[in-house]
Amino acid sequence: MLVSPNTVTFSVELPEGTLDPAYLDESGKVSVLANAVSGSMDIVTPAEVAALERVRAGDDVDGEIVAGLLQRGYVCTDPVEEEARYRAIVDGYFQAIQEAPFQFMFIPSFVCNLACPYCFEGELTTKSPRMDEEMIEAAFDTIPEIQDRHQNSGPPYITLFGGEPLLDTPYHRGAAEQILRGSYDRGYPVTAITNGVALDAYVPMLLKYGCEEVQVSLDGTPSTHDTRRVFRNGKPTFHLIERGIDVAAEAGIRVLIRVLVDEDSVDDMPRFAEFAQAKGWIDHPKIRMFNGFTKAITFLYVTPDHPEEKRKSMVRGDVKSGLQDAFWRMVQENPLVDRMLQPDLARIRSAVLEGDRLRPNLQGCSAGTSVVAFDPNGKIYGCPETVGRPQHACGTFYPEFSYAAGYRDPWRHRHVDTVPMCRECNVKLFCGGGGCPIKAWAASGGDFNTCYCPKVSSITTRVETQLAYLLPMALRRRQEHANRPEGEEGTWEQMTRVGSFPWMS
Amino acid sequence: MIAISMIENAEVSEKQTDCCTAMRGRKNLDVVTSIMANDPDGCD
Repeated sequence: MLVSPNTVTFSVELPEGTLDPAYLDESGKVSVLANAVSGSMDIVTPAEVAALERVRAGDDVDGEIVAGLLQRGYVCTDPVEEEARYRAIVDGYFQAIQEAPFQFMFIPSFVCNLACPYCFEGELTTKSPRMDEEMIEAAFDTIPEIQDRHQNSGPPYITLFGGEPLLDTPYHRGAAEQILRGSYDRGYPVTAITNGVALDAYVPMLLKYGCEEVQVSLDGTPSTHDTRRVFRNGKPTFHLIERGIDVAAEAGIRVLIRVLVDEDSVDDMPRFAEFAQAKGWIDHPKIRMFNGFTKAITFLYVTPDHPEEKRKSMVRGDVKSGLQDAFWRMVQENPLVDRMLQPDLARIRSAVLEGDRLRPNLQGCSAGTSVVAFDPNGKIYGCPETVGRPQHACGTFYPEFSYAAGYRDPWRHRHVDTVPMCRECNVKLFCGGGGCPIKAWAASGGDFNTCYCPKVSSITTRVETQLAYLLPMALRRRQEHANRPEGEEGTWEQMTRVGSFPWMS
Repeated sequence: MIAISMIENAEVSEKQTDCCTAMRGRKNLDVVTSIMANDPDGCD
């Protein structure tokens, strides 16, 4: 008997009274076992943790406890079988990647009419070349070739990206229509990532070519949003975007609203949630809201040939310390914000709240495998965040096609096992392995199979922070269900609303 | 032992795939990893 190499013990502090004291350890915390290969997660007693550690040490352990640990996949009897289970997950993942949708982002120009202070395209958005008709056709023509190089047979889908792709100018209307029509004619689904200020004017065109989804950004209530997402002359944009969202959703287009949060806006989220609820956005079938964080982008200016000192100093963490803590505190105190954003930074929400299996994260970022961006200079990029920085281009689509396999292939194949430091790490399946590939490549001097590494303790802390948030919610729902009189089973929607789940019975 | 995940007969809500999932997932992940990357010297 041995402990599975992918078994992780998390230590979580829960509010007093959440659980029977028998589950608390000496420090008053509860232990949670998780194994992303078996998919299990369980709250365990100190005796069960001790039993696991005795198995790890090679001791004989009580049969009943071990049977439970074995049944949930935390211990195993045959390391070869355990390795085979892990290998099947890795192989299955790459098989799925080969058949997964592949996103092709078209950037007709980098120009944008807003001046958001945190924009990662920055100075690129004031003046830009434009994709002409020939370039747009050339980009479409390279799609099969790129998919072939990625051994991907999934459905391509097109994303209008910028700059701002839906500027209300003759050029942008023409370019957007050519891309939408080109997608429609080829049977490719199409989406747009837009600032949303002219979305209402574009809705008829989007509908004409079957666009089913757009993404816009709102950073909070008008008093917050209009301090950052403003026109170049400083004029506000909130109500224009609000109108665009309403018009698009009313027309049947799905609208994803990204809410970028930073230290200045985190306390505005409760008011914004009240606004979104009053608008009917939170429960709207065509609207989804989610959060991101504003971030630093100095890594974009670094390449492997820069001196090591520069690489180390410019490739760094993005988000000021404390923001994540402040965000979780705010969400914990404001259930409406949770309903609005359903934050899931550790990707465990469905597993904890719904009893789903825990999903392993084998490759932290999808940019390596299934995203390509075409820019108006004729260049191809793997990561949309690097567009317009020629040092990060991985090929050209105009005037000729080229694709740098030597750069792209190691990026595409990078996963938890190709980075040596990650291979033996037991939290790798909660991390995806090695952090941002571009940062690792730049910081290391050109090797994708290195870490730009979140510390293991930080990965653990991230999961424990989200568990501390989600577990009381999950346990409360379970308790409410257990207390309900028999015969009150309702529809799934009703049961979800009252917080009871069939699996709890 | 209280089972939290991988519950037999769990009725998991069907997640509608977003076309922008790739972009969104990547962004969220970048943020998470970046928060933790204050020490670029590597793993513990």
